[in-house]
Amino acid sequence: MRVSSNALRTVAVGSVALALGACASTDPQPDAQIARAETSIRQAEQNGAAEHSAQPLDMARQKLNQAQLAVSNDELLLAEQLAEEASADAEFAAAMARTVEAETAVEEIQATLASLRQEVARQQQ
Amino acid sequence: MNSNRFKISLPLTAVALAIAGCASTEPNQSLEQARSAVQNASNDPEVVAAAAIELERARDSLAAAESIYREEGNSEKGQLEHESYLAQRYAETAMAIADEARADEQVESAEAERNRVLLEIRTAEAEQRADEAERARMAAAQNARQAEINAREAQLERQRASSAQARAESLAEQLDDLEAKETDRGIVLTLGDVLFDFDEAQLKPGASSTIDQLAEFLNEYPERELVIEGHTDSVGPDQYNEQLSLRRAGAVAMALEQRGVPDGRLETRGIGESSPVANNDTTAGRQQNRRVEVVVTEM
Repeated sequence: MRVSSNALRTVAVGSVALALGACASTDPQPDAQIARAETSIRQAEQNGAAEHSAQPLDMARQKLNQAQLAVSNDELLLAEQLAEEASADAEFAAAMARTVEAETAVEEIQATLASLRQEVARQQQ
Repeated sequence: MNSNRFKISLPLTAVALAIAGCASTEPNQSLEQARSAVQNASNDPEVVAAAAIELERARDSLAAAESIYREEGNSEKGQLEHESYLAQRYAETAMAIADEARADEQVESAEAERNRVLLEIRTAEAEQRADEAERARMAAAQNARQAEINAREAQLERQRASSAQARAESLAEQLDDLEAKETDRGIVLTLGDVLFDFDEAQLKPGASSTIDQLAEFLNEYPERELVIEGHTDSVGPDQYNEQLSLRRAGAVAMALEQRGVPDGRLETRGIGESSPVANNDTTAGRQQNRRVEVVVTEM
């Protein structure tokens, strides 16, 4: 292991601090992560996630709320992690919503195709 | 592995470890789920093709999680959970994108199939319409031929009618020749005694043109019937004259039947000498009285 014992000690102290909910960290403000989470959630909503994949969308919204709360508590690392996870949830919700819609389109066109084939069969009689 | 140095820091992390509640070498459930998800996504060629970026992110996060786990065990639980979570989510997103791509491909091929079937239907409909148009064309041609035939027949009919008219007109003239007279009983034609020799009931050969005219008139007007009356002069016994006049009327009727006039339209009577038209005291008068009268009546 190449990590120095000082660095290790720092990480260990940091984790103690995190675990205790202390807020003496020097982590940067997670503005970019929060902005990205907001964008991803909006994107998911536009993709119909509220209808087709409500569960991951709700998780994304909750984590974004928690991230904003963490920022106001100056828990910046936690806020960053929550915002990143909110983005990942929202992106998953968006992909799932698009998949549901695409699969619905498959069912619709296959129904159309089936009725067209019946028409052909009638025609050939 | 520098376990000695790691142990030095243990007292400082005691609180954290107490909260995390597990030893560094124990398996981490989130990490295992992330490995499994990334593995599944990597095994799907559609993911590799359609969601390369998401798969790459999943692998990066998994690598970060593996690194934390390898170097820190479960001591960095928050960061390890976080990276594992992201790896799993990115992998799931990649799989969803692959599913979407698969569905899109299905839609695309179903659309192609639909267009093919539609074309088939339209083609069949067009052929059907062409067949119908051909049938209609043939029917129209048939109708046109029939109309032409009808027109030709109508033309022929007009020609027949006009020639029949001409014939009727000439017959009327011929009837004039037969000295037709309008009377209360109908048209009366008088055939003179030139038709028969004295005391004979045999038509003379010279009578045939007169009989021809009469037959033609009757054939032209099938609604007419004839009463054929034989008359004599006063020479000879009454009864004999009646018989002679009846036989002469019969000879005329026979001649008409031979020219196609049904005998149902012909009635013969022997009037004898009882209905003279002139004085029997003179030769000329007696000659006028020896005659056959043909009365043309409506049926």
